[in-house]
Amino acid sequence: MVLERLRLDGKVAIVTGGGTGLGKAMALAMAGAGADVIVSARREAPIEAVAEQIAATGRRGMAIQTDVTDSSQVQAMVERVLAEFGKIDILVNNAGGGGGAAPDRTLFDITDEDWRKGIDTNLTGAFYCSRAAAAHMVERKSGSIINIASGHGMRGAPNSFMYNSAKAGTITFTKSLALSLVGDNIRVHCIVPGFVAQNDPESDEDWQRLRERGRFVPVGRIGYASELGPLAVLLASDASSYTTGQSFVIDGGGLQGAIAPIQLAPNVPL
Amino acid sequence: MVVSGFDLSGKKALMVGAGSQVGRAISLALAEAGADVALTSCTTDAAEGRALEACAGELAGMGCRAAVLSVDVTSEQEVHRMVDEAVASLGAIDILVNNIDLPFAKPLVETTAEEWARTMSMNLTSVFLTVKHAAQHMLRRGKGKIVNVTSQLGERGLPNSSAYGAAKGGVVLLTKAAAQEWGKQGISVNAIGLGWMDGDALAQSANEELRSRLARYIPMQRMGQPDEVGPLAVYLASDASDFITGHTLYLDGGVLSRL
Repeated sequence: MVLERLRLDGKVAIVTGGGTGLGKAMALAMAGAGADVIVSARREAPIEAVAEQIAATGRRGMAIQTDVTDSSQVQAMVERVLAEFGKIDILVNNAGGGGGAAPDRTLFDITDEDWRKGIDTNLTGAFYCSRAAAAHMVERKSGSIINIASGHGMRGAPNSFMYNSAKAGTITFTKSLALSLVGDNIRVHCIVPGFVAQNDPESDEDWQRLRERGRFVPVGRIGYASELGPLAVLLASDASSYTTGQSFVIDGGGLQGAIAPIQLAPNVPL
Repeated sequence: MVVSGFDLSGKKALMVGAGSQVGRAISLALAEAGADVALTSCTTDAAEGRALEACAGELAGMGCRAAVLSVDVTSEQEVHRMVDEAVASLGAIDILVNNIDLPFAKPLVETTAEEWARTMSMNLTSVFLTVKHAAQHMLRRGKGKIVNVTSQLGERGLPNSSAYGAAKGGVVLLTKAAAQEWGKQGISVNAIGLGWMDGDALAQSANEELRSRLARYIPMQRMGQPDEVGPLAVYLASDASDFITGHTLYLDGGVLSRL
């Protein structure tokens, strides 16, 4: 049955940046589909809370404080997961941040350090985590890696350099990783979110805010965190067995058109 | 529970082009996920007609309400009638899946204007017509999910694929534009871009030697199986994908990732 192919029972997933926002939503979705989930992040309190939430659903949850820009910490995280869970089936490289252009900071204001730190967090971290987890996945000849990019990785924005470059790098890193690991039965995907609220709407006012902030998005609203969950589960599961290397855009139609109040004049005769 | 977000219980699907192996696999997946399905054949081919009746039998065995329709998808009148019949038989259309495919491969200089027109009308005009008439129904209801099955050849060029690729690429762009037009009216329009599939007419038409060369070129070293399309179609047909529209999701064994 098709819905059973989407289940993740018995699988072990790591979600980096899993304490808040999209990472938290994807971690909970995977647990909801049956996986045991390890969440990592630099800050401990949020991941501890998510791990508890996962445990409350009856799955195993664990928080491992990790800075993904430090390869020795990444290595230690993977080793600890293997010691505790015995395997890694799914890796979600979600840690990142620093998006959103700062209009007052031009090209000439950005320091070497700004650039390096941003690229490390958004791109190098995914490389470190993939390298460490894939070494194990290759032995088992099985695995699914999901990288989280951004619509910024497919478009430019004034004064947004590091984030757009890092996310474009994530999209292409996905393709090369997919081609490198395909022979070992490891699939690699990229999710490309558009404007997505870090929390789910809970009230009419929240919904109103989503619509207000998304009035130029084709579907008339921005997305919210838990909308990423089903896509992550689909790509992590055996139900997506013939895809690898691809980017899956979830953005309310923005990248396919124009996030702008424009249209062609409605009636132009032939 | 996240997997229940993919559930299609109570939804009504119009499946156009159900006679192929991929069409059968998508129809079964929609039914397994709980949808009632109207199966449409796009040819008068007797073998396809029998395949469709057999598929409807399988669906009925699963407790799914299945109807069989036959239509010339290049005729606006017939497409209009098909949509009316599907609505009459199922009560509504929540989901439209277009899986119409007429393979065609020929060097451009040898392609006749008639062949070009036939390739366009079967692969692209048909999508325009079915999307137009199903959307009229969906717009009245303020909701709907449209999934157009197209091809990786709508994204990449290949020798001898100019007519077919132009039509399939046309489906990709129609998908993007229609998504913009109806985004605020509750209708999402997405596409699935298929790579080389077993049971695909184009792949089947190639001889064994060419097929094995093709498989070696695909990063996964194999052609896709029709039943690998089902889950993606169910996802795009379900509420779980409400924030995705205008997108073509490629199911290609990794082909588009490589040079």
